[in-house]
Amino acid sequence: QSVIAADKVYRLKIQSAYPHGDVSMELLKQFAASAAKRSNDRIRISVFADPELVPAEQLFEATKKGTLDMMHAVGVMWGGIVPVGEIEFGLPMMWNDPGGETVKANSEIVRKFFFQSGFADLLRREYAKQDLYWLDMHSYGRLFTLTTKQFRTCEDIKGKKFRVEGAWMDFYNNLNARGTFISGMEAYMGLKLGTIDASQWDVSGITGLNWHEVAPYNMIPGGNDVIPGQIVVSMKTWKSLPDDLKAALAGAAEDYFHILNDAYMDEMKKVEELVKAGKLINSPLDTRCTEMYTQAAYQLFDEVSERDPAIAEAIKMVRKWRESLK
Amino acid sequence: MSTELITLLLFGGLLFLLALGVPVAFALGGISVLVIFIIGGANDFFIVATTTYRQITDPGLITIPLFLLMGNFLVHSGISDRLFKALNLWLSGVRGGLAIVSICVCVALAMCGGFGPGILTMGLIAVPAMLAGKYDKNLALGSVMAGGVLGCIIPPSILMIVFGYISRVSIGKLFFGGAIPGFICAMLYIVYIVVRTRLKPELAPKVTAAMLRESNRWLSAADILLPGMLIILVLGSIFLGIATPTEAAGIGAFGSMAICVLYGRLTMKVITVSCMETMKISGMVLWILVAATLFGVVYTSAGAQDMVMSIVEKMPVNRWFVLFAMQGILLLFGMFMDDYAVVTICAPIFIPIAVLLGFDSIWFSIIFILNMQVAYLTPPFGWALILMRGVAPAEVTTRDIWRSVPPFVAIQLIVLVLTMLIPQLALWLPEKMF
Amino acid sequence: MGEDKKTILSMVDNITLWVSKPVSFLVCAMMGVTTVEVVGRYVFNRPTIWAWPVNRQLFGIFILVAGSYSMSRRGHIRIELIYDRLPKALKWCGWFLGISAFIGFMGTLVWQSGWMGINSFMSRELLAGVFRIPLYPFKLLIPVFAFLFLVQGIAVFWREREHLKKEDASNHGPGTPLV
Ligand code: NA
Ligand code: NA
Repeated sequence: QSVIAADKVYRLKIQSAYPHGDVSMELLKQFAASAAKRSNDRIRISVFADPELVPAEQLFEATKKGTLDMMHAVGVMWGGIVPVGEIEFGLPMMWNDPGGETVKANSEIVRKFFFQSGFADLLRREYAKQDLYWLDMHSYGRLFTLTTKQFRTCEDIKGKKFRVEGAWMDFYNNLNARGTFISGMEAYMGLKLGTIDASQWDVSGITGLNWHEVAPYNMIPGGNDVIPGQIVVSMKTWKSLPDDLKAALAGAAEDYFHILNDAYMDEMKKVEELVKAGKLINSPLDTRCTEMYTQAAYQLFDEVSERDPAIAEAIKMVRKWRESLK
Repeated sequence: MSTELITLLLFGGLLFLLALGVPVAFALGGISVLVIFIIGGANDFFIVATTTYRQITDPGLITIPLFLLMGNFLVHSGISDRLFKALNLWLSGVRGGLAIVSICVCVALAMCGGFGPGILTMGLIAVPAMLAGKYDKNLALGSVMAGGVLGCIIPPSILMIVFGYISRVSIGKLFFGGAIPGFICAMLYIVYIVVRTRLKPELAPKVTAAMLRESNRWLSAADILLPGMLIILVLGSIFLGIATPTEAAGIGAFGSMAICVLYGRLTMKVITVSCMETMKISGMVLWILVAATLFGVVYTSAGAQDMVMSIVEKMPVNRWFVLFAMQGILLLFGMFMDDYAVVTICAPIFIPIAVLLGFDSIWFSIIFILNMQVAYLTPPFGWALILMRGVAPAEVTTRDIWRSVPPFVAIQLIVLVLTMLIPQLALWLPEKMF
Repeated sequence: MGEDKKTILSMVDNITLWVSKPVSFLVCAMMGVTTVEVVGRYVFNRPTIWAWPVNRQLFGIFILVAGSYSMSRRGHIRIELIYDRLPKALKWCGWFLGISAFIGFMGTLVWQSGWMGINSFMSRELLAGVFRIPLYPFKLLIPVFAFLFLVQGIAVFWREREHLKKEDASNHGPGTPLV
């Protein structure tokens, strides 16, 4: 490599799908710091929150076009363009109970699966079709389903309105509940006034959006134990980087994975405190309903597999892995 | 180019273009495109498309045409005429009665949370009625605009949810925190109208005896009752959990159509004219919103946050000085930018600093939002001014609209300062409730 | 103004009006869709999966066309406070900056949303989520209607130019405001 190339500073822009105040968004600054450190300051990343440069929904196009160099989001947002993104994010029960004791241990197990089973390669192949390089995953911890009333049986769930997204809507409809859309900003009001009965989000639905104030029951199982997020790079940017900087960026993404895990461990502590204070009530479904819940999830795996060959391949990998967990 | 220079270019350029009579939407859009090119090059032009796409598909903004449709149905079917004739009879004993009723309706609509429902509907139906009743222009325009912007401080308010998220405080507490300052504002507006019209009765003439004799009060009661039900329908659908605030706008439009049917006034012509009018006003409002959002995005990407941060860091450490300086920055930004852009740029910086200085974060959020309420009314860029320009009758000029603002802004500032001096105004109710 | 120029300008107005009339009814459609969703959810406990995705696209088309319609009706707000008292030369300056700002803004939108539309079409983009209809027809319509807006805007600025010229010639009286 020439001396000039070795000295060249790469200024990159990353935007998150989440606004200021979101834990994972704020910690992207540490991702940027790590990339700078690992590259001897040759990678300088500016971090933006939603919707500072582009609205979250358009992160994909903006990164593909090169207006952004990287995006920080979840695969399910791009399910209409990269169908396998829906699987990357996780269908119900897909990343549930992988066997770890903590949020941190669970996400480490899932990340291992991503990189050791060929799952990450599959994602890279599919994103490459859109001129994007799928760099790495990270986890937003647990997916919570907060409900306004206590649900114990599947009978209780019947006809209740769940504010969920993507394939989860099909899933709750299969359980005779009602998948409903209202915007995230209206969810608090919706729960308070009974427009909806339940709402799903990661831990920031509790620690950030305070939904537990109006929906104090934490339904179990109500989601996955790991919510995979993604850092995706514009292919043009990725190819322009010399190999050592590619490695630096990949290393920074891995650092970010660990930093985020620790942060979500802290968030979970806040959740535990709320549980202790009686402000959040863990509310498990009965065995029969949990079984039905699992059944409905596996049924959904089959339904979704028919949509796209890459999805089918991905689900096959997940199924094999889940078998090996038992 | 430094951020300071870009600030000058953006704000100065905007002022210059507006002064030369360039339409607001294109002044904002044009200057933004220029600055995008200067700081990012052609590659960044894509944000023009992404920002536009976001705004023209934002479910929350659908409330704008829907509330406009609601108002237009009432106006073009002639129902609002009858409503205000009847109101005039009933309020014949109260000087400035129509202005006071407008504010009360605005307070009710403020509980819908959406984007300016008070100004959109009252501007369409109440302002023409007041002007026809020989009300002073300043009084008519100012009271509707001031009442209309109560929506951001009287709960529920989207702005409060944003603040709750950024500052990690209870949204319920913020809702309750805004209630008292909001109602104080509304009350002071009414007091102002009463006192002002007492002192200068010609500002709001009373109904003449001749008019009183002409019509029968009781017969006209129906003309108030049915449209009045509309507000109950809109609010009821929200507070009974039937509809979200966004959806309530649709229910309101549907209700006003139903009222037209009941009066036998729903002709094809009424529908066509209402839709076309709604389209004209929405086109004008939404394109300003698109361009204003782009303006904010450009300013943020130019490093506005870092600049504001460095300004605050250079300040003397006196906490009250910092607090007042922050309010000054907000007032200044509020003159040029959309409130949402101001919040995006300033809230993530100001809130942590305020907490660090030992201020209560709920209290600080409430005074921040009170300040944004002022921003709606301050020229050259104020949402209330723009919305009013869109819906007011043709004889109302921009000059009229701007001139009607000062007394109401003064009241807003008084409440802002009061809340700063007496934190209990914002904190008492939340503490009581939780 | 030449006769053929006049013909072109009124043709542009007519096209806008011809598109606007049917599209203006979309606001009633949005009202209807919202009402169906609310009644479906509250009365029948059957929330739809399509109401908001459909409403968003209706809204998008409505607003795009509304921009042109507002333009043709000279509805776009400007602040006439100072403008009315400006000397001729500055009015011309304002006209020139106005049309530049407009073309800069709207032209960029046509160009960039064009890329967005074509890109969406190439990957046959579907709506993400559970109501998986094609999204590319909508994204392809954006540059088309933005182009209409651009053309309508240029037509309006062109008329304004004629007014300013007339004002120059007569050398008295206020100009007809653009909007
Ligand atoms: Na409100
Ligand atoms: Na302002």
